[in-house]
Amino acid sequence: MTIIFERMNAFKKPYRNAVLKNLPEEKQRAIMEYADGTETSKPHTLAETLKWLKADAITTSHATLEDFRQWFRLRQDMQEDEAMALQTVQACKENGWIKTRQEEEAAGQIFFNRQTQRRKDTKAWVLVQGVSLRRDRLDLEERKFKLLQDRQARTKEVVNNTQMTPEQKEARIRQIMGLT
Amino acid sequence: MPINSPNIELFDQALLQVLETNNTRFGLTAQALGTFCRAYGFQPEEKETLDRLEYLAGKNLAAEVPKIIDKTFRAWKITAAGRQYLDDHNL
Repeated sequence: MTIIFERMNAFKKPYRNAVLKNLPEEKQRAIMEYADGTETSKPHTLAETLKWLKADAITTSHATLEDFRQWFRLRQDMQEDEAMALQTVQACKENGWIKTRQEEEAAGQIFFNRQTQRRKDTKAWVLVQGVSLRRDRLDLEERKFKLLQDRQARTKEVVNNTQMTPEQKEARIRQIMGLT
Repeated sequence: MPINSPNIELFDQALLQVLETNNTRFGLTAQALGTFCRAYGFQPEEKETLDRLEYLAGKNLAAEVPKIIDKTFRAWKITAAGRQYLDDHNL
């Protein structure tokens, strides 16, 4: 797999102006790890990452760094999707479902595009679910707050009621608080 | 962002940028490209994406991957001229 990527990259005309995109892949990965953090290192802000790069004689802008990060992640996703597609093709070949080189190419194309679509859809789903979960939590907090306000108001009414005995008041308050 | 005349060049650039990101052996379909272009603020119909890809192919900035078995399956890749375009525009 790596051999294929290296060979393909060698054919590519490098960007003249894209400083970060022209760096060796190891350095690009190091930048991503510095910015995003790893299991053993903490993440850094874009400003901190820019400063870190400058110390390495790499001068770039906030926008370029952000663009690079997006580009790197997408490229990485696509490489993973390619690997997945090739694995699926291999499994199909082993099962005898794919026999010719042409079928292999066509299936690879289809599997790759399905995988990229699925990944995108999954990300969107996670995002939607995250928003929905946050909204549900907010709704719950709001309901709790309203319940508390309601209990406070009802308790205040009982406390200010001059016709009730202290025992009656206590019993009523316990009822309002759900203790009986 | 609607894909009309003031935005069409931006949409073309977004398509080329996504195509450039793909350094795999495979091409990307119009549907996949349309999905990726959401990150650039576009939500194109598949037909709109196809129209622009055909335009870019006509300008030699993108190329259609040769159809092998399924003639209806269309996938696209960037060309050297497409990379040059991005380079010239600092994209």
